Amino acid sequence: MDRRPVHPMAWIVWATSAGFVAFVTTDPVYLLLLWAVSWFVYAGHRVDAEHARSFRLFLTGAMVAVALRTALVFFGTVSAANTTFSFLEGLRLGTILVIFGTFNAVTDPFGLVRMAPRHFHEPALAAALALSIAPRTVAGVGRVRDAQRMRGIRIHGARALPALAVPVLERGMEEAHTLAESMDARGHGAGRRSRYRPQPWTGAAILIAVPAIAAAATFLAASVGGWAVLHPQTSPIVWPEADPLLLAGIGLLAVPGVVGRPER
Amino acid sequence: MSDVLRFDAVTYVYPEGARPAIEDVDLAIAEGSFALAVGPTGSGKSTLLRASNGLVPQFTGGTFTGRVSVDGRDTLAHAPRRLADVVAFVPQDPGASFVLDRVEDELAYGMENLGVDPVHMRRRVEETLDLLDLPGLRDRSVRTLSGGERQRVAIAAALAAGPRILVLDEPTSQLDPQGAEDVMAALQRLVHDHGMTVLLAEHRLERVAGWVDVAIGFDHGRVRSGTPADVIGHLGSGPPVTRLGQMLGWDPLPLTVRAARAAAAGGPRPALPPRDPARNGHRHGVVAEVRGLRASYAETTVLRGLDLDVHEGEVLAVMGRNGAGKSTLLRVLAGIHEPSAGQVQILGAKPRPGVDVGLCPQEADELLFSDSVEHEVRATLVARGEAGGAGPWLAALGIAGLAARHPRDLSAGQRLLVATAAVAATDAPLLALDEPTRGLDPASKERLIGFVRAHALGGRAAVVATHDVELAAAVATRVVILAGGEVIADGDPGAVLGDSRVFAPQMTRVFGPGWLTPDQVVEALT
Amino acid sequence: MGDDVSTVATTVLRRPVAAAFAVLAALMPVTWPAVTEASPACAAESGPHAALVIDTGAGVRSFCVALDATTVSGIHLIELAGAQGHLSYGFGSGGQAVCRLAGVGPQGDDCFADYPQYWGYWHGDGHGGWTWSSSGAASARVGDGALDGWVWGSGDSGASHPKPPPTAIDDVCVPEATPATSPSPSRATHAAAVPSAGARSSASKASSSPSDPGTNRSAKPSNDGIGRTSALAGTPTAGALAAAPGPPPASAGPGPGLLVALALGAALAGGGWLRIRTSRRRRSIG
Repeated sequence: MDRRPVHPMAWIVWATSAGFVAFVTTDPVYLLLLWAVSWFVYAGHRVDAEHARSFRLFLTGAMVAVALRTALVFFGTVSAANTTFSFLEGLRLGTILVIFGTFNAVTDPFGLVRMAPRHFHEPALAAALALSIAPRTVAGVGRVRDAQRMRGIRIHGARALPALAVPVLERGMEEAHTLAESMDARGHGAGRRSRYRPQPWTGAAILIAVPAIAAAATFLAASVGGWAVLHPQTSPIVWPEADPLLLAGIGLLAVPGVVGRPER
Repeated sequence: MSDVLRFDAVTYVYPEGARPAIEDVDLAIAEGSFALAVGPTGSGKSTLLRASNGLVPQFTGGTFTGRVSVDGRDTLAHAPRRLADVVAFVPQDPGASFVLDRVEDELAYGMENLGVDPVHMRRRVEETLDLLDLPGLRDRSVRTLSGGERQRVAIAAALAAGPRILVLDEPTSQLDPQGAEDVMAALQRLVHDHGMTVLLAEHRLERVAGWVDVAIGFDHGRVRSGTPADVIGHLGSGPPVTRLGQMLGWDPLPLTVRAARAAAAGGPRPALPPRDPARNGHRHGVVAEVRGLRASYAETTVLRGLDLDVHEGEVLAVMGRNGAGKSTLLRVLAGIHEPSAGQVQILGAKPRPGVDVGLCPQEADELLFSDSVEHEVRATLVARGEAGGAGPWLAALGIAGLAARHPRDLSAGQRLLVATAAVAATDAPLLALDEPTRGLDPASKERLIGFVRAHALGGRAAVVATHDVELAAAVATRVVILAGGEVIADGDPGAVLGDSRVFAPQMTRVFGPGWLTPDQVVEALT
Repeated sequence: MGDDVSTVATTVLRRPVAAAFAVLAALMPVTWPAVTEASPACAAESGPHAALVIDTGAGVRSFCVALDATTVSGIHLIELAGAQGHLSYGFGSGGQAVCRLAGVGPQGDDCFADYPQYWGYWHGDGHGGWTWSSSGAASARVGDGALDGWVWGSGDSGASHPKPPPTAIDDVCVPEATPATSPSPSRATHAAAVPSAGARSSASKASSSPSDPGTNRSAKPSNDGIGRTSALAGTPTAGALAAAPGPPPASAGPGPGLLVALALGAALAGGGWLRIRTSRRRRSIG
């Protein structure tokens, strides 16, 4: 198996395609399958405990998003149809979060920064720092909670929040700052960059990107051509549909779960 | 030889700083020097190091007067990224500055930024890997490296960019004695064989004093440079062999074990090491009991079948290489970490964190959240329902004078003392400290040692995980060495440390097993 | 790179999860007919029907919609057409306005995102004439024999906005002569463009009057009732393309596609869990 890591652009293509699919449909069958697909892909590329925790964070966040969006129905007339509609909108949002969680867990944000064109280096760096904060913050919360426990301060309830939030945020910011500082001190953004190793499109990268594009294309065709139900009706509520071609498309998005895993 | 780094009348005040961090500094470091910055914590060493590549003041703001030039370039006129081809900075925590995932890529990163052509880059990467003994690690993810390997990779990454001067902030603070020696040897090779200029700041003088040829002493922001013997001798808190030499009136003052042996050869040999009754505490009641402990960390099994007892009055030093499981053991003792098998009991019951055991973690900053030192300690007292003030705890660690200061404004070593005070305020029967001397200057270290000893005398016990050999020699009543997840040595400090090549304190290396501190030797000789 | 692909391909095939995919792929030809099999018809049953005509500008589709109440709103008529005839639609403004029909129109909540083009709302008079609707689709009431039309185009009022082609209710919903003589479910009859003998009565009824209880209407049996594929392959009749008569699948329960999806989801979840366990085991050995 090829030992080189996968070209980061492949993952961007995958995440964008999966996100597009989530965007064009509110069919819970496809959306929930996308959760399973994201989980599967993440499982195949999971690097270490830190990233595992950040993925779990995104998963939790997604479920919270679904719950919150569904609860929004209480601001209007409550009916089975409206609740279902709210739920489906929330599910769509949650799906996008889960996909992003997988993307964050399988890519190296700084590898992406290097690919950015020169004038985009500053915002790309900021984005990479932001992306790397998630796993770091999650790890940080656990450590700070432990540290406070060790001196007898239990973190529960809002009153204990400063004891948790302050060290975590401070450390997160400090780490990000140190990293940014060190990147600058090592010459980041100074002049023309050269490339140590070209990053070719390996077979693995192709197998990640191409099926994803095919999946997105399938859903695009369905959306434009109208030959499949992408938005199940909510009044009256019906069983959602699962078109086999679209199911196959979702299956294509799961291909990265079995290919391209860098051996460590 | 030209000067690679020059400071001309440099004074710098941090934004919101009350007084200058460095004041009126005149310094010239010649090409090919191996220079050491030494001084108490908070005296300006880090500031000076960061001023050498322009991070101070360009990243920190504040008021800056004077001129710093690196290879002739003014640091105010050039952004730090434009100085990257002449000066490379390795911060204290190398892990925090790794940008990329693979070791090889990390090495090439600096060169990529400088636009070096790929052929040249490949050659440099190979050379640097060889120089720091890293070729086997080239494909590895930096996250999977040990502390020592990380430090070497950070140095390699700084080197590969081909700077004229390498600046390192406490490069051995995270390393065990063997790792520290590897790094110092590599740096010396660079200086002697490749004409590199190296400037480093370090507290643990016993690890570095013998390697450097120029020392810069810091005192409240002012500097004085000279030969190592001159500067360190004047500090009053150098490595043990130097302190011994000062106490015995040796001239010239020895900086290395070798020099000390030479100086001692001419004088009387101390009598057989006395057994210090206060140090080898009577084996009273058992405070902590560990049986068959197995524990994992980050999906690897770290401790395999450990048995250990800690008695009243004991100060137990747990030593071992980086990754041997010291931290995990302490966390299990504290009740924070669940063992996968085995039993841990504190005073006969499962340990309650913060009540039965107070543990100060390696990263002291994880504890600090209050706006003043006093409040920080009070937070612990309030949590256990104690009405008293923070005063006694601060005084015990010698930081009463910092009571009103904001913890984030203090230096790293001071923050560590604050965290220790906050944990000590739990008044738990077992006090556990994880690497408590990281970044501590010798004076603060003395205070800590005094505190730990006093704590144990009160019928309690203390466990200290450390790879600071001199700390263990000075404070421990019993030493345990971990390796491969098991205890490989357990006993009297003189015996255990005397028996070990890696963990032998300087006094042992000079006078033989059983000799732990200069005070001990001096007492025996007088 | 060819080597990479072939090595990857062989390793992929060896993995058990990939085998699961292969099984699923093999199953698809089997499940396809099940999924696309015609659902039971309802058109032969009595009950109120209304007609819905959609003119996208590129083509016209009409639906005979069985109503589930005496009168429904214009919005609900579209939803019923979606369920029965696989019309794809999209609503905006909180479900009160029509944004998208048959794949034409803006996505999202703003139905005027493509202004000046939008969906114009017309009521048919039953004889081929059309009146610009004075109320929105959510408040308009549609009853038995009614005719609703939607046209995609620009023009801010009935004077300027294009109309649907002239359509009579009987062009879309063919009434049965008597219940006894023609109870044929639409599945069985595949009379192409020819209306069944005797089924067509003269188009002289007013569209908005309640139907004669003695006469049932059925959807024009111009195709064989197979789901979505026939929606595109409608046969031309006088003035309108008839869509599949589409019985309401609302009561049909979860389709076989859902079962396939469930199996796929389970395979992914299980596969992922397995991967994590093996990688964890591998790590603790090291």
